[in-house]
Amino acid sequence: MTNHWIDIKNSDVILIMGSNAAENHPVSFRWVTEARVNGAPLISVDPRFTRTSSKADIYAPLRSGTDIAFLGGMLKYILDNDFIHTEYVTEYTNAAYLVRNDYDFDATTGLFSGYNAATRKYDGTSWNFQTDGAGVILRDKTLTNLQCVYQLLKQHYARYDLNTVSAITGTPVAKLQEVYETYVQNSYQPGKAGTIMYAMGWTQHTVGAQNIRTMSMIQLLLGNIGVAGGGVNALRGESNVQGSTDHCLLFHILPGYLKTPEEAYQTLAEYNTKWTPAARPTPAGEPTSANWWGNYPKYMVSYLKSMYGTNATAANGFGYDWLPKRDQGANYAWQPMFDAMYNGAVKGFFAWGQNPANSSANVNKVRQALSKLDWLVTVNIYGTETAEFWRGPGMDPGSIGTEVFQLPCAASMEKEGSVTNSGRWAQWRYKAVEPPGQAKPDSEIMNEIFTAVQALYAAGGAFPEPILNAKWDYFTGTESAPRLIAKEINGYFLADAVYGGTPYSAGDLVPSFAALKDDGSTSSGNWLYCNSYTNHDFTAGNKMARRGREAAGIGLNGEWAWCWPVNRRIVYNRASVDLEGHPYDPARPVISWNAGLAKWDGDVPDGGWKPMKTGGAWNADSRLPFIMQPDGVGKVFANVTGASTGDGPVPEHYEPLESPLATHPFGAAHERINPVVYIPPADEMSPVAAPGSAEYPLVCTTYRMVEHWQTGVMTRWVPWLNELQPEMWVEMSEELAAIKGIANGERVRVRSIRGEVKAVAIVTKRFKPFTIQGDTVHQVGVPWCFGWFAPQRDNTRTTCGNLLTPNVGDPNTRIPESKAFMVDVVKEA
Amino acid sequence: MAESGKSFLIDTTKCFACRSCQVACKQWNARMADDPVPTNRGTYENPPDLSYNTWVLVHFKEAVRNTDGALVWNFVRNSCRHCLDAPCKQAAANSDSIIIDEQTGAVLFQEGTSRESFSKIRNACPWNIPRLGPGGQMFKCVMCIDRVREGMLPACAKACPSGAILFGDRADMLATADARLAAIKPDHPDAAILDRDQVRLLILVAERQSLYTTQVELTGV
Repeated sequence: MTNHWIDIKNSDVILIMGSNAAENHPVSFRWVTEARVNGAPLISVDPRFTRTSSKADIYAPLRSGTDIAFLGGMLKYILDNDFIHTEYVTEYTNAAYLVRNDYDFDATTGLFSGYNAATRKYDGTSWNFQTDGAGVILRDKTLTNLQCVYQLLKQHYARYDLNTVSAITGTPVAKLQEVYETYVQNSYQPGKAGTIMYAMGWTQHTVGAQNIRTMSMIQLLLGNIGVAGGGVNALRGESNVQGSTDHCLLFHILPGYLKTPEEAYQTLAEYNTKWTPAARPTPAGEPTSANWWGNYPKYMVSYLKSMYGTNATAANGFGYDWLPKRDQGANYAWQPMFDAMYNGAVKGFFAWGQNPANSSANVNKVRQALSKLDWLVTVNIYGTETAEFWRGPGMDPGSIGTEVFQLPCAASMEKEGSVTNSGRWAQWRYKAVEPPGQAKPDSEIMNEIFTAVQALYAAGGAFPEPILNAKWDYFTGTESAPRLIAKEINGYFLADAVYGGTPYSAGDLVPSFAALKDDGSTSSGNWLYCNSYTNHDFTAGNKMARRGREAAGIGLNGEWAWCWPVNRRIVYNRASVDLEGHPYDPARPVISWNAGLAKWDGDVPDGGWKPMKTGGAWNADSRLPFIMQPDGVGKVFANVTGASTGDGPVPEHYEPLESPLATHPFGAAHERINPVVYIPPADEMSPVAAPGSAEYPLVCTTYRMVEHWQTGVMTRWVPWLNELQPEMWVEMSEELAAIKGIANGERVRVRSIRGEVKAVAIVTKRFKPFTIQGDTVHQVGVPWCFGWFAPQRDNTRTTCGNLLTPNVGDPNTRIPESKAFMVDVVKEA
Repeated sequence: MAESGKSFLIDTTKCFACRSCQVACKQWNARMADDPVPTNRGTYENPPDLSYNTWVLVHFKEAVRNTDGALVWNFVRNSCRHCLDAPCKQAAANSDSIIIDEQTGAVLFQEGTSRESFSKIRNACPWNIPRLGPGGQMFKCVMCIDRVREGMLPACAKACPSGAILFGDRADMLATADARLAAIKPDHPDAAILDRDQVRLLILVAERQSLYTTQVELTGV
């Protein structure tokens, strides 16, 4: 989230789309309730009327996979009427920038300039801005030049008129209007703020990143970023997934969102050059961008010092050689990983705190892939379908050679450590009880395995340096390992230093990432968490353990726990004030310039520089508000600084891979699906239904439910929860049930081209048929929390929703398109 | 008397049927799941009825509101009303079988209910709450009297994430209920506090009762 949970109470209008927040975040939903009690309308947009919809003032249905069309219509409403926060848009975004004349979008094909059909990739060179001789970007602050971003957006979204959008999404025109008016009118003026709460309903699509892009553009145009009650707010789906994301447990990033090295960058110097952006010049005398990623080398070197300790020196590139290098352009995301496993290229697998046999898309393939492993280690607090895959539905244990090790681990209250929530708040938790039996905390399990591996490498092995040179002194027993690790993550001065006028000794904890250096004199396991643990004494230093509540205010609660970056509760908050530093919303100020003390009051400012203007004159030593962007402004137009990229610079509606429509609604010549989505080679385990297939005519989506947790590993063992939701169901409209002759409560089968599940039919008013381009299209939905192992241990139960889902996904993240695919439903008999 | 003791406020405008209340009650009071092998009956609502083990049951109702044609999905929790003047106690042959706690007003079934006529006690209850356990003793919500006597909230109120279940001194609960009713009445003319002066479990509804459930009677009238 750019904002945080409590801040939701400050919103003047709340849009929940791509999320069922009441269902999946029942405790945090109280902040939505508080905003509602204060008069903020709640809008729920969802293919199905959900628990969230039941509390909403406005519910709007839409066909799964049409969010960009829906939001494109909102953009048109905003742009046609200029319902924007004008100063914000002109000064804090790139809306005024002039785009290169060779930039083009072809409305007939749906392609931007620079597309290579053979590689399915764009060269985004033309998606950039015109500059003068000094490299300063040309701009038109009147927003009238036809080549400025604002005018190009008007042209782009002119096609998203109400009737066109309605024919794609199935949302009635009057309902579209009601949503657009309610959201925009309650949030575009200075002093008003609207918020968006979203989750997997937006991300799990082949246009997932673009879904969020569209809303980010809307929020920038309305001036809703950096202000109280605004923001772009992702509701994370697991209690510490934000922590795992920040510590970058993904193949392409290192802790703090640094990049994993690729083969093309063989030295630290080359790597740093590649990933350290340069700020562009601004007009003479005007503030520049802070270009905060310009500090990249400091964070990378400090990370390497945490990884390899004293073994990392300037002479050896601080151990850069010891980091694995990705094959150039290779993608080791979840889907390709299981493809490789299926093809026999992956021999061993740790399924650590997860249940991929039920949680992946297209689990038939995943389960087969597991059977190709030599060994599998599962670390969990319960048995799972993954650990038991070899005797699951359709498996012949006698022919499977995988050796499975099940390691019991401690549950969250049986160990100490931090948990980071959606709002970036890292909150320290304590050990309440001992783990049962032989269960151990994950960190201890990792330590035992790694030290054993180190011992083996000490006796020989290929390329032992990365293993033997690792700094690994967290389990000495002098202090709890989580605390020592948390300190390492914060980082240390490795030599005496002076920062902010204060002297520090070698071994002191670094107070802020602004003190990190690229010369090996500092370490930090994750620069984003620098400032979280600033003193060796736990009480004085572990800011994540603080529990100070705000007496009054907008809910920042700056003394409660700690958030990144440097405890800044609302990011980009320099955009919450006008050019002279006065809050746009004096009733709910985030920061405010205190001229007398020459400092900012309120939240940690997004850089302490003075306001951009004083008395009408530019302050050249000030900075633009979007400090992480090289241009310092919010990107309404996503220009690129490299030669190639993923999706286009502005979102366009494309159909899901599996869709009820044979061709794109804009025309047969229009790219039907996202033109840069990776299409894996077809294999017998990953078929895809043809668009408009008669055999699979129903749109299907998947969702969670409040009663069970993820794949149900922890909850299906609990009789009280199992009683609430005992078994797999499929929700369908009364109209579809009548056509199929299915009665409520009848047992049916849901089938996609990839697999089939048995389910109980729930016939409901909460799905209604859609009218899409004049034809009736039905949608159904299934949960994915059921499985065969718990509690019945019955491998004839084929009840996992992910037996149906496709394993093709977003080109940037490879998250699968679990929210929009095609099925049929048939009676059991 | 009518203003003393404790009361619950069930604010259905904040409830989204997570059923933490239903589960928390079972956990604190050590109740079992009703059916060791439960099945789905074509609804989220389960178990089908209150029982010896199930003292709180959340009902779900989908309906089209005839005032504006809007789809609604309403939720209401059913459980003992802890009447101020309990008809179940009046129907009991022995005054020790069902007692009213002096401090809180909680209506509490005692072991002596096993010697009462179940049909008589049950039929006396306008909401059909009492259920029979093995050995003939009757069971229902106990207002978590053991928790309340220690200054704690009943388990359901403690567990509710949305503020839909409040618990406290009756005078405070009535004031809160009345204020909330006044706030929603302009947009919801059918809003009401059901049996306000007769019960300690105050249920605030925003619409007419048939939009919440047709499985049980919500009012005692």
